[in-house]
Amino acid sequence: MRRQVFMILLMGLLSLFMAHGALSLGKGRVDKKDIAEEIRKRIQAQLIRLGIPDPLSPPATRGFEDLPLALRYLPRDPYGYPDWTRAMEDGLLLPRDYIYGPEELGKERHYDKDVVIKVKDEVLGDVIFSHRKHNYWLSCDNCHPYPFKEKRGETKFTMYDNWKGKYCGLCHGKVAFMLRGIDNCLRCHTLRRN
Amino acid sequence: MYRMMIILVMLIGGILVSTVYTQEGTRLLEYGDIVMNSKQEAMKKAKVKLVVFPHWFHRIRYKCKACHPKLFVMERGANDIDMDKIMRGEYCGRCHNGIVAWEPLYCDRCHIYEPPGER
Repeated sequence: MRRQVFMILLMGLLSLFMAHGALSLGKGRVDKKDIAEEIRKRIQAQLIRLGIPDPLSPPATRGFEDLPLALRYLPRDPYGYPDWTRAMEDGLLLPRDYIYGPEELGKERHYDKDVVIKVKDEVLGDVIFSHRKHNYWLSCDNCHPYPFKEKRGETKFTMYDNWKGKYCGLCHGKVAFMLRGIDNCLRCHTLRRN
Repeated sequence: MYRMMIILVMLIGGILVSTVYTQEGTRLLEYGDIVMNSKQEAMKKAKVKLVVFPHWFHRIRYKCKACHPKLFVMERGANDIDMDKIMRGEYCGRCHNGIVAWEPLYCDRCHIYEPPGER
C-alpha cells in the first residue's frame, strides 16, 4: 500500500516536472520565433534583391552519429555542430600555436579587449566582438589590415556583406559557425539596449 | 507487476534510442571541408581524385594561426600547391613529412573527392 502511494506521488512529481519543462521550452521557442519573423520581414526584400538564401532558416541539425568520430565529444551548439569557443574555454582542447617552435609566430601580440559594433536595427542587439576569443585562434595579421582596418569605426560593413562571404563571412559560414538560424544570430548580437 | 512495467519502459526506451542512434551518416563533405579544385585538370590527367582538406579535423590539434597566413594564404586558389612542393616540405609537407604527421605517400588519404556529376 505504502509503495503504491509512493509510486503515485513519484509519477505525479515526474509529470509536473515534465510539463514545466515543456512549457518553458515552448515559451522560449515562441519568443525566438517572433524575433526571427520580425527580422525576416525587415530584410526579405533586400535578400531577394541580392540573391542571398534565407539566413533565418536554420542549418541542418547534426546528430551524434552524424558527426565525424573526432568531433562527437566536443561541446555542441543548438544545431549540433561543435562549439569550438566553449571547447576552448572549458579547456577540452589544447591546440598548438605553431608547428615546430614559437619563433614561427614572430612578434605575437595579445589583445583581448571587447569591441562593441553598433547595429542599425531595433530588434537585434549590438555585437560584442571579443578579441580574446578570436585572438586565441587567429593572429592579428589574419584580420588586420585586411579585411578589417585597425582603426575603430573605419571599416563599415553590413550583414548582407557577411552573408555574401565578405568581412565576418570570410570565416563564419566556411569554418566558423554559420551565419544562419536565430540561435546563431544571438551568439553575436548579444548586447541589449533599452 | 512493477518489475514488468519497468522492463517494458526500458524496452521501449531502448528501441527509441537505438532508432535515433543508428541512422546512417551519408554525408561525404563535412562543414568546413575545403575541396581543392583549382588544379582540377592536372589532377584529372594524373587520374587522381580531388583533394579534401578537413579544417575541423586539423582544428582539434592546431590553432588557425599555426598555418595561416604564413603557410597558406586565406584565399581560395591563391596558394600554388603541387605534390613536388609538398615532397620538398612546403605547404602540407611542412607537417606531412613523416615526423610531425604521416608522409605524403598515401594518395587516397587526401585525394578522395569526386564531384557528384562525374561519379
